[in-house]
Amino acid sequence: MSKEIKKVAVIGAGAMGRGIAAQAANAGYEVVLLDLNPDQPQESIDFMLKAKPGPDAGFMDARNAKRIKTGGTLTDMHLIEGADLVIEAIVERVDIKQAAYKEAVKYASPDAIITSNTSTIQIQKLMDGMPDDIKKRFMNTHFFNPPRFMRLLELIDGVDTDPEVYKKMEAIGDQGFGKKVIRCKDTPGFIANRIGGYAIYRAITEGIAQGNKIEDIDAIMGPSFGFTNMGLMKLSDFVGIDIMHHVGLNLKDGLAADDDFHKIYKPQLVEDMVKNEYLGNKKNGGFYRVKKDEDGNVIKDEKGKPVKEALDLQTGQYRDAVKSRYFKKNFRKESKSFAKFFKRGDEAANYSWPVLRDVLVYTLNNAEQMAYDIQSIDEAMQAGYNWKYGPFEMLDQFGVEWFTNKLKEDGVAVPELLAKANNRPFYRVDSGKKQVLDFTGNYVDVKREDGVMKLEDIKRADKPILSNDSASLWDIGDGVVAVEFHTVKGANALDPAVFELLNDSIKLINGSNGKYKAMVLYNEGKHFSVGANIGLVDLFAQVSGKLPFGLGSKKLNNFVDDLIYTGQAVYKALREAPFPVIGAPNGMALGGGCEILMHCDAVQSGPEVYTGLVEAGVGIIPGWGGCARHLERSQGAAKLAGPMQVMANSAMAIAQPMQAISTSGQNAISKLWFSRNSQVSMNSDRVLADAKSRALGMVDGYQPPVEPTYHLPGLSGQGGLNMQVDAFYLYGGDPSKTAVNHVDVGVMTCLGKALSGGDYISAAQIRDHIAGDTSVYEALAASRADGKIAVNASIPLTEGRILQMERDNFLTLFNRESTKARMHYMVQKNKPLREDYPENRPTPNDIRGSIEWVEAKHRTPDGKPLSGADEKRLKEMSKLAQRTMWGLKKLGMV
Amino acid sequence: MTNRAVIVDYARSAFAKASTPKKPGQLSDVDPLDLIVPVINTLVERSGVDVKHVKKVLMGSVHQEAQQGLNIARMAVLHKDCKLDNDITGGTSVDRFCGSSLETIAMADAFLARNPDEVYICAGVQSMSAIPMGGLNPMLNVNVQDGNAAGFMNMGITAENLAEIYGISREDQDGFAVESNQKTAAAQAKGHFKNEIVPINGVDADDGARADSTVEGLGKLRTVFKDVKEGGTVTAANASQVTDGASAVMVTSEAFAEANSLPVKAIILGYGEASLKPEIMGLGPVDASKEALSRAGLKMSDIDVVELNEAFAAQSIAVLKEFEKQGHKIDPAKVNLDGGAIAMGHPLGASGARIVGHLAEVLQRENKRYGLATMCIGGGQGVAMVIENPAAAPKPAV
Repeated sequence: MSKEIKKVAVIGAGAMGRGIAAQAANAGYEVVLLDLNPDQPQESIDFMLKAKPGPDAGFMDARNAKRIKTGGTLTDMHLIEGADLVIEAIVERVDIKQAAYKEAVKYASPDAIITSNTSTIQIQKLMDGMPDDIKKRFMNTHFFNPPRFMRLLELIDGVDTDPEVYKKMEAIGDQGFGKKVIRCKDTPGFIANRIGGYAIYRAITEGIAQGNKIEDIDAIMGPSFGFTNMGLMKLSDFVGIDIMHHVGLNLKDGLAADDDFHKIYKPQLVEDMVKNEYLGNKKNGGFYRVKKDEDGNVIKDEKGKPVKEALDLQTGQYRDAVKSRYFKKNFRKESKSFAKFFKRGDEAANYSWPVLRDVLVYTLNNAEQMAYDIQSIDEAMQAGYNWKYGPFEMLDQFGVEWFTNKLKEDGVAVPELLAKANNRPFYRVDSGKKQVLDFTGNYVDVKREDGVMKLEDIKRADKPILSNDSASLWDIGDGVVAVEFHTVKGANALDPAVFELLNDSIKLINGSNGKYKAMVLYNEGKHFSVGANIGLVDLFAQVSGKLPFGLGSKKLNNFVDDLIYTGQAVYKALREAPFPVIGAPNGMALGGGCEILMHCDAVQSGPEVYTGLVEAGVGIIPGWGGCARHLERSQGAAKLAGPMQVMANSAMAIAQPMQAISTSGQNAISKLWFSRNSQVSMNSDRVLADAKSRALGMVDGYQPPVEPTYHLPGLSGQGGLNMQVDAFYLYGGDPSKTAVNHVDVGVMTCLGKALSGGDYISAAQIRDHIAGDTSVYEALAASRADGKIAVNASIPLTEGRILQMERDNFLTLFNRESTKARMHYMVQKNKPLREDYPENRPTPNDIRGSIEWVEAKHRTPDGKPLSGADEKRLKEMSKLAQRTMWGLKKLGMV
Repeated sequence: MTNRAVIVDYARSAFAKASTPKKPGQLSDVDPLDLIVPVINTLVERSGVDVKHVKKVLMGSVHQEAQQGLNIARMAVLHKDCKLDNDITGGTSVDRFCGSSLETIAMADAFLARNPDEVYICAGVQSMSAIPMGGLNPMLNVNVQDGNAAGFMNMGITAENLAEIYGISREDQDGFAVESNQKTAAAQAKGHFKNEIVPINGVDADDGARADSTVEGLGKLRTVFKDVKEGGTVTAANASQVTDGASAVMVTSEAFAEANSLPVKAIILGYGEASLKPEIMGLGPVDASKEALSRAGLKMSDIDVVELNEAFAAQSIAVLKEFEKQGHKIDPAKVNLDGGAIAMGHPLGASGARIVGHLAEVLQRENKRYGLATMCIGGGQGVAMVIENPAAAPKPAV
């Protein structure tokens, strides 16, 4: 990563300053955080450390906080000594800011970049009367709140800013802070707040005019148009009503008198809310609030959930919230096209049209004034306001010609830029390249930051090397291939067809005579993979029980046994393949998605990665080598001494998925989910390119890992774990919450069996399950009446043993009705089932006694891609999976 | 003169709160052997006993692994600073959970009955900072009966169980805890522990007692083992503290003491033990005390002072209630005159020698004759010992 600089100073420890400082620490910079109140910086660090995962949790990993030194601006300015970048985020007053710059440059490195995070004051004003030395290295770095999570960083260079300084800051913002950097012109609100602010005030004005309920506004102005699930109003509560008010005021004061914003700016409602301290989610609520009685107690409904109230736009009074009839509707799908939708004449169309029309017209009219190109505007709205589609992408979806004609129908003047488009779309694909109109009406290639690689660009220009319905193999240049999963859009679930493609890919690379030399696992989009396609398994399970000529439970068991085995075998082959494999996740990587990453040589992680083994939630245990890999890492963790600690550490991680799941890419490394040599790309757009270069860097002299030897405690380890599980079960409290319930006791028992290495090793298993010279163990087993030896920490177990235990216990659990119920519930409701205790609560021994132990087929993956009969079976299963998923898609079920 | 075992001296380290993730304990970085050896040396030096008579160190310690492993009793003798003679004094480590070091005194009593010429150091040590509750590798044979295993795990739950059975309210428990703290603080102020504490690393006082605690203040604490909504009552403040510490008594025969002019602090009259369901292990003192009393030939009404190990306030109150129910009522004014484990801490292996040793001190100080020391033991056991202060016995007619 080109971080360019070493030390960052942030002046001002308010919400923005502290968040920027935390993100700088996340990036690995040495950080100084100062404030007029010398205690404020440390307090704000403590606040962020204490925050639950969410907007206030500024640190990707708690240890990053140690990179920050704190102090007061009056006493500790010297701490800035040698800083390469000084970011000011203090009160919006020119004189105070200027004093801060003058003081800071005394200590900072002579070529330090000085920036302001102001969103209201133009650079010219800030630099008025300042020395040239400061002017040339001064610019505006406009972060969005919270700085860790909001992708956008607007960079504004002034007339005197040295272009080299701008370029340096661009690289720091992009690769260091990990932001989507958008260069803006020095105009009020820059890009995102200008358009975003216009949109929200326009939405309110129209709501007042038409008398819409805000619940309806949120439902209409939601995902149908690419806005967040929350909708515009609820999003304002989330962002903060005070912030929204601030954005509005800033636009009102800064924009020219003839700007169209003034025509739709009716701030009364928002002003009143701020005056009455309704600041959104952070204080008292905003457009929505929780209903309280006169004494301030929260009123709850019969389910125990707080009753919500919504603001009436006409009266300014709160009333009980209602569910909108437009909730979760997809207007485009319903009406086949937006053109038809807007003709419907119902509230949704009547409300959304004038709002969207004016937002788009406002954007078209002012585009050139605020931005350097069209692409910047779309990207700013995506990164800064979480719009799925930028205004110009939205225009393309509506149809530029249709939109132009509709404006004429409405008697609205056609913006110049729209006329220049001349009924052509703003974006097009030309010979495999994405292009966009420039302000003169000519198509130019869409630009990518240096070194950013997008799979979507590769896919547009090329065909995959291998592909099936669930996954594809892409050539990403320089001998590196990328595997992409695309089973179910957004979820990237894993199924036999993914395994088939992986298996074929390994063979292809092995047989390519050096043409291909490394592999990257990468899925563009929000999430890497949510894990195994349990929908498929659930479907088979439901069918096998109900249809006499269906799969039959025996066949289903064989299917699941083979599914687990082939997954293990392919993951192991991937790990032990003679070329480097780098995982490159963004977003969620759960269950099987986490397991495949655990088998990579290293992970090049995106910044925000939420990963862990969550199988227990659906009543099973990790079966694709997740137990083996986690045990291997626990054995390697220095602080874990003794066989029980190793097993207990892995049990804790797998049995308590909600606590163990990572809260960032860095945190995934801390929590052992990613190997210790893994790295994090701060900018999610750079993950693919960084993964590729990481992979290439490993090619020379690459040696695949050998399988570890395991020393595990066997039965007494299970006893130790059961003792703790039972305590939680017997005394832990409410089963619908966090406590262990009767179903969990069964799951944990099986997990204990897998993680402890199992109970006994039979004579038939010794050769495959014990490492090294097995003759002494064979002799010992022969001397026993039952021919078995008990597992204990002195016996060196093979990975084959752990994988067998994974399969045995996975199958045992899969056979339980409780597991099938959990899976079905998850598939239907998309949340885990938490069973209530039965009336007569069974004892732990009753529960363990009721488990019918199933043994999976005895077999041991050899670290090579599947061939022969195993490969044939994999292809059979792959075909079955693809056919089934195809059918489900046809039926509109996925 | 008989071969009765007598306690000739008692010493201990300060009891210091064990480390938490937020705060290191005052003695948390002291290896358990470095805690106990100065205590043993003090006994040897103060008594002036010729070390050639010291037959054995019997040492109680729970979770005998890592720093507490390798037969820690013998390791104490081999410690370079130890005044005992490697070639004469042996070592036996004892683990009976909380009852460990009380058990060592009973063992010495039994040895002395046959070999009255010997001297025993009956000691206990526990670094709860170094080795957590349950040990570093808590494993268990799966054939241990269902339920018992869970009973081992949750001492706090056993206290909740007793609170429920005996209807002991949160306020009663917190009241008991406040009283324990006040008694310990008062005893500290009067210097009652000065004689027994051997300074280690400059730490010469227990740091657990909170003189200013109130029932109202303690009432605000979160319950630890059971949700308040489900009737939970046990908090960190009405349970014994997690502590590092070491203690030891020197035990000889009455004859040896007389021959060597050693002061007899107490005569051991009887030892008793009990086994019961793990879920209600806190009642262990009841049957154990009855056995000890019967072996001493005494009744509860004969007892002047009681040291009842305060594992939990709920557990201590339950024991007193059960005694009363069975017609052996104990006057609360006789119990734990200087407070107990709730205020002072409960370094598992070291608590037994402390309560017996301190009981002997209290009997002397108060000029009382008979004392009972008793404690409950996780897993469903109890131990008890009855001792006599010879100085308070009526002088035989000449």
